[in-house]
Amino acid sequence: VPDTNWQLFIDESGDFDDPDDVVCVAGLFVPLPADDDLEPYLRTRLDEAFPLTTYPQHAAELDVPISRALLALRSPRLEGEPAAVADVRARIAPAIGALLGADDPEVLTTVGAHRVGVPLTHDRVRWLDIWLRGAAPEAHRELRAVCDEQEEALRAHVLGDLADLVRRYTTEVLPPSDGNPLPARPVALVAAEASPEGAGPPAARYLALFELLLERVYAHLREPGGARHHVLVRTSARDLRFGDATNDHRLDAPDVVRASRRAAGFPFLPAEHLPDRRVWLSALATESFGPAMHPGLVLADYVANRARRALKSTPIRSMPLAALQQSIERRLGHVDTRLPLRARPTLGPLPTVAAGGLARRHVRTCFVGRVAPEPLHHVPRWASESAQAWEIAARALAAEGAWSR
Amino acid sequence: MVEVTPMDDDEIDRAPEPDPAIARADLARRLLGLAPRDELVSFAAFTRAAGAGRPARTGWARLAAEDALLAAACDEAGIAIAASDDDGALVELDAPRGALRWDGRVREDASHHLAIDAREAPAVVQVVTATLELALVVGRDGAFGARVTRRLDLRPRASSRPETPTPPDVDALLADRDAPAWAREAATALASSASPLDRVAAVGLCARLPRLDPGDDDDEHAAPAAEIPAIAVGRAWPSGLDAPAVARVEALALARVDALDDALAHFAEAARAGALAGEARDRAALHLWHERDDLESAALVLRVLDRHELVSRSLAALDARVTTGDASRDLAAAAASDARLATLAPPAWAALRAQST
Repeated sequence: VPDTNWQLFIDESGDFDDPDDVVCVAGLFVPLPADDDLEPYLRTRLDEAFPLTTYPQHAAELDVPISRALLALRSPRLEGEPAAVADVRARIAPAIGALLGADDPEVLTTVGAHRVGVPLTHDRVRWLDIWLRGAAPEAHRELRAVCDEQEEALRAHVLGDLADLVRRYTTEVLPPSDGNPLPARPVALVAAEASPEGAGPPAARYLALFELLLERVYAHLREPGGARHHVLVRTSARDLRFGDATNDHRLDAPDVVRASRRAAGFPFLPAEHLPDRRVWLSALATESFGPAMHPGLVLADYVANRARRALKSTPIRSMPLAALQQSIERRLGHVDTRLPLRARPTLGPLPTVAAGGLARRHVRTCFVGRVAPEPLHHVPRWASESAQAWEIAARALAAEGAWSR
Repeated sequence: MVEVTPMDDDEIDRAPEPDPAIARADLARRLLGLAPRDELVSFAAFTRAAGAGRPARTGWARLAAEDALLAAACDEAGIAIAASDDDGALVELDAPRGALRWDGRVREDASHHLAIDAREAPAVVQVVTATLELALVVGRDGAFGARVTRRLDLRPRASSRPETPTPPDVDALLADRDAPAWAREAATALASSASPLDRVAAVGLCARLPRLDPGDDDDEHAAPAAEIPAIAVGRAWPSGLDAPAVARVEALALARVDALDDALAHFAEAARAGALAGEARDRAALHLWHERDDLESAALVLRVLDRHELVSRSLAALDARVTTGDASRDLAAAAASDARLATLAPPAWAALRAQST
């Protein structure tokens, strides 16, 4: 049975320093081999979707309409500029005109600093956006229309093209499946705190969700006696703050490997740290946000951003899992939030949206099967339903002895 | 791995000179057809180089490996390959010379011939195209290994841009509506926007306006008041939206709600910190209200299309934050005398107004 290659791009969203903020770690998971050509391919798609912006595009920045004007200000017109780009430039021009002709000296100072390369804080950009709404509403409306157009381009021409690649790879390049097909679309993996837990330092909150995400990757892919899966993991770097300056550091490959090892025992807990020869995770060096980063991580940033939006958009405690999944999928387009277990596809697709804390412990206990899991009291509805779906699968597998070593 | 029998010189000379791409492809296909699958065939040029140390010709070659039958024809411009893949299916390709890659034991001479020196260690020649990867390993003993792998085709495909809904006819939509100047102006601006969401919002806005003569339509006369705008939308326009277009409008609406949520939070911070004050603050607040109201109009159309649930839920959560948030007083003050809000009364505005009274 040939090995199956996957790529997993991981980023996070939310303020892990704020104990009350909604945070999540999210991954864009695709059954594609590591191909040197994939990077320029996606990079080109992103640049086409976001003319007059600077790579890498940042989801939080792009959500603010005025970012288009600020980025265009520093993007000089080039000889032979394509008509589509010139059109966007023309539509952005009124907003730029309003910024440069502002009667507010603070606006002029801020924009002047930006033009000579002084980085603006996110708060400053948002303040300019609010100011422009009042000062030049029509110009702002046009920026908003440009944002809409680019949002559509990202969904249709970047994620849509990626979905098309996945479909063609799994159906045209790989040999026909034996009734256990690989997903035909990218999968969004989301590990979120079920409610603002606030316990522990920011790094611990992040790493707990990161491990949960990898834990589910192992669980989804394990095929005892079946194919081996190789997962290439790319992760966006971030500062890990443990509240202890001697331990604080930048997330890098060793952290990813450690998390992977802790997750590798799942679902054979408590036999952690044992090597698993059926699912291999290869962690590449983490990548800081910058021009050299892999475009898959730009998309992971977008996935994480939109997943967090979905988590924040409604009264989260009463939201059914199906509604949350729908909310994530419809925000992103062309991605799934369900994936069958490779070991038992007949169990049906399981949710790839998982909750940390009690819900995670509940599922782990079900897989071990020796003791009764903690009841899911006071767990938000979506988290409880996700855990219950995994509980059913875990019990079925345990009953069959399917995952015993 | 295959054993290789060199072809004799006559056989090589009889091979036609491949010139254009078509000839290369024809030759490769023909060479492949010369030998049945699983039969040992020759791989002349490379063998001679490995065996005698002479420069190899890249003119043509054919071989059978364990699971692949392959023939190739090369010239200065390109290489054509006909091969069977692992499933026995015929794969044909015509690749530029750039598709050829080789290691340090292979070099190209002035005549564009590849010379392979495998006397001390194996040499590797690869052909990598958009859809196929072929690796040939030439061993010290003259043996060859070949592996043909299909690749994911990463060449961009022409994808059609989603069609933006036709701009609605505002005059027609407002024909039976009591439309003051602000309404006509707002609807026209939305309808002329390039954004499909704005165009949808234009329809919803018109439908939300009061009718000139509420009694002149039996359907609307019989319907509960809350349903009348929906009936107007259904009659006016959105039947032309197909399912993908509706999904796009919904996604854009969700993105706008999210962005508006952020903007309101930042408005509150800026107002609290005094970074936004007086007339500038009120103008910005009014713009935020109108953006909220645009989303109400879009949500109405989505409701008619039975695709409003997520957007409505997100708007409700947004409104809850508006009415209880730090900026509620500033927002309420800015909206107090706005004719549009007074007429259309989006829920958050109505809630704030109820609070203040």
